[in-house]
Amino acid sequence: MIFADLWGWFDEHQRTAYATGDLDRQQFSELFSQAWSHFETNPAQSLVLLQQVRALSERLGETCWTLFFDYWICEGYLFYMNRCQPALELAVRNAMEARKPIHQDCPVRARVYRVLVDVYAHCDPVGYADQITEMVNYMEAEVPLDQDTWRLLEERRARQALVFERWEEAYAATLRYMERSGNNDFRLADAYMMLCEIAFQRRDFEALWEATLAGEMHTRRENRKGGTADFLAWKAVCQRGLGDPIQASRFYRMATAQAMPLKAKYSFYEILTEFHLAGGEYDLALQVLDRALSEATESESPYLETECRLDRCRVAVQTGQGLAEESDLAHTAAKRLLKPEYYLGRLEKVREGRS
Amino acid sequence: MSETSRQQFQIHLPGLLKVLAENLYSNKKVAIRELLQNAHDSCVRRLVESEPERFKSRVEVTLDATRRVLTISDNGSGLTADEVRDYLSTIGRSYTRELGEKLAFFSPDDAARLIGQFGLGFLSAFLIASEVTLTTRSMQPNAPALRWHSDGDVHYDLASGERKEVGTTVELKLKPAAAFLLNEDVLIETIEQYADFLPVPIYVGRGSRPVNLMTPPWETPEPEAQIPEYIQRVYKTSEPLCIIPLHDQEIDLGHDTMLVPLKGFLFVPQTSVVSVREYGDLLVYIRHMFICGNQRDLLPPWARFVRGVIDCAFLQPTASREEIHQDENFNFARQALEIQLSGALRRIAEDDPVTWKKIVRGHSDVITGWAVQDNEFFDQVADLVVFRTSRGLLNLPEYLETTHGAIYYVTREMGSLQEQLLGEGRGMPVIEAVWFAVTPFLQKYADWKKDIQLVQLDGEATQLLRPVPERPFANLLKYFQKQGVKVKVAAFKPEEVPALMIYPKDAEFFRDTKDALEKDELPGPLAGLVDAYMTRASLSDADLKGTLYLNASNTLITRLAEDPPPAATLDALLTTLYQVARLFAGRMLTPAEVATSFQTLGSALNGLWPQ
Repeated sequence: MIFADLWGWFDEHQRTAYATGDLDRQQFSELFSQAWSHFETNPAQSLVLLQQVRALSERLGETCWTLFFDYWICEGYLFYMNRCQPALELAVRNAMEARKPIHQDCPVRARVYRVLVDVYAHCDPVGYADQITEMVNYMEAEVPLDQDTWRLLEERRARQALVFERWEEAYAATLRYMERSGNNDFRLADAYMMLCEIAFQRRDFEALWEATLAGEMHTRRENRKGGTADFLAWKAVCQRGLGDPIQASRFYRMATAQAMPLKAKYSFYEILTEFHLAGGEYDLALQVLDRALSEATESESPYLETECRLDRCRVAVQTGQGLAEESDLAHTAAKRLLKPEYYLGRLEKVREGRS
Repeated sequence: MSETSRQQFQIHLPGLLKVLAENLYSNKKVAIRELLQNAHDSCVRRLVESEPERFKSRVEVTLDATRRVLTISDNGSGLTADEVRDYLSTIGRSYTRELGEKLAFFSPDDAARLIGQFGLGFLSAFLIASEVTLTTRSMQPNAPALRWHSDGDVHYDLASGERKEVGTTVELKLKPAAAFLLNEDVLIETIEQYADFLPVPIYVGRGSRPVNLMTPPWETPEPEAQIPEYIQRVYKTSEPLCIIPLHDQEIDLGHDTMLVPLKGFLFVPQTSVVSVREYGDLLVYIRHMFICGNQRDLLPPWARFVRGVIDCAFLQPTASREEIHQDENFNFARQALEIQLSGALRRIAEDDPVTWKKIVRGHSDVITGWAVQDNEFFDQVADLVVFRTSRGLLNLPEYLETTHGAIYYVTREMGSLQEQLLGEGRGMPVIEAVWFAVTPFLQKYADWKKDIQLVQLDGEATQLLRPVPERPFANLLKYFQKQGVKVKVAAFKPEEVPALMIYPKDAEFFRDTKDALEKDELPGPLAGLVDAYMTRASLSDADLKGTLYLNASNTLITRLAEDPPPAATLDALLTTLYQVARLFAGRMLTPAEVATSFQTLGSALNGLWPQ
């Protein structure tokens, strides 16, 4: 692993801008920090700010900075706006731009490649699994990485294992990801989120509880409201699993209150769905899945839509209502993915009540 | 060590003097400001404590280039021996601050006139001088004249001096690095910058008129005339579009209200240029003393088309008084400014639409950029911002009058001529949305007004074409198909245009990416992901070469279809049409392709002559 010092480059450039009274270039960090601060609460505004400062960098002929802001716009679309298509378009463009000789020493390159991997993982992690794995291995071996990208390659391995329900592998990769994360609260919170899912799938509610406690602490330290809402929702699921309905509904209320002012994330709906399914509240589970479906549709991710349709089939199996219709829709959604057979196999299991 | 002993810090005075003098301040000229301010405070003190009726304050600055000496004299209160010891020679102790605290309750107006706070300003003399000599006589009855001298060492000398009048003279033996201050023009410029509004006349050399204004333009009897003159002098700018005088502002704290003292003015210059000449900056004064210029955090972020000068006693200077603390008071001042600026702009928009239109036109890009981020500001400017269109500058209501509720726009700088032409052909101007903020602005506008159709024409120009039966044009289609040209027939306006070449959106990017993949320029795993994207986009090579649209409404095309000329002429004409359409599209051609295009064109036209 070779570390490219992205933030060192950022700080050095800005120090020079301030030392020389270069007001235009000083705006790089000013507008970027404004954009960053709005990502969770008003991602659309963040994107406008990033586009503004990107235009400024282009005007000033700062090619590496333009790539830096394009990379963040892509991150914004993918992780905060939850919009797969524009993220994919921009990720490919950025990757094509980053390979040019002019960017040979630009420390943003690794991030550009990584976010391209992330986009595919969000759009169709099964269909592009081989390419994703190859790219992760290639980057680790060949591309000068900044520290965060180095961490996130391990995170990607863990998430891919989760997608394929290989829990042991996911667990081991998550632990490696935690090790790489050091004391970075942002990344540790992500890692604990994966441990929550693994613990839940294993129905290990004690491990789930421990992961929620640690994860919530890290996410609160970072003041990430969305992450905190997710951990509170996991707490609700956990308490329901441990048989404490009063605590369960308390955490549920806290989670939804926390998430209310934010742009809802698909992951949050997934946890709430598990909460309602665990309590046999199928109508409520369907209501949550309605919103999840709308989020998935808006994100233009056939993967999320298929996952959502499969969840709706799970509810339909439980209630004995509308299974045929839901199955057809799940089937259609899966067909839009590169390897529909994987999902059709899962659909079959769901229909047989084996999932 | 088992017992605790209480000890005192030791100070190495020369080192401390060096640190304070050289590192506290970033600019040598600040020393002049500090010494002038001391002179001013001394005059205020004499006025307050002694003889208010008869006293006429005065500061004189003289230069002796031969001896490299700069002298600042005032007729203020002067100092007694005790005061020299207790205040002048005690770092961090300020008589002015103590006097201000005494006066604050019973005589707040007088207190407000005092500037000094930190007891550090005199130190700045050592920033520019290797030796400082001060001669003073106090206003106290029978006080003797004193001479204080220091060369910045741990010691100073205090002795009897020669001086008849009450007041103080500071003589500075300038360091070589500060010799530039011996240039009278530089000195006057420095005084104008820092002490323009100090209410004490400052004379330089033998000049008979004070070099400073003494009264800020907004405090003169005719601010309407004085402020524009001041803007002209200080900002070197022609007539501003509007001037907004500032006044004390009450702000709501929720449980209570508070009055923020605010003086000065804001103004809107004629034009701004995004990221090259954006403003939003202020000159900041505190109690008439200049603190800093180019302050960009006090105005709201959207106000990048506004400049101004403020004097706000609420703001707290840093110890060097070259910056202001961004504390709670700073936020109150910022809030007060935003209230007054927003209110004034709203009034201009309502009462003086001509000026408002000039403001919005002159600062269109800057305003658009900030309006997409700020809903309140957007509401104010949405109907007034002007956009570049194929019919010149138009605001959206003017634009929508011609298009009946639809907004057509292109985001590409190059190669959007066809879309604009097609739009115009149907009587619809097309907005150039190349600047990043225009598209989000238009989207916001469409959401705001409802019932507005937003149509992006880049790569979607076919929306402006009307399908027609192709059979009557079969011979033309066949001709082009034989050449390997993708061709269609449609009716479009302007009717004078016989053919257009239309490319899919982002055609250039797809072509370059395909090239890179074909030439194996991407590392394997990256190529895999990029290739996956290209496969999903499913654009064939033929698509990327563009589609030739023949205009069924054009008389030449219909004539060629209905009554074709001899084969050689037809070939020449159709080749000409095709190549002109390619060139006219203005994109997707390499230099080699342009050369080939002309070569083909030349050969076809040559074919018109009998061989």
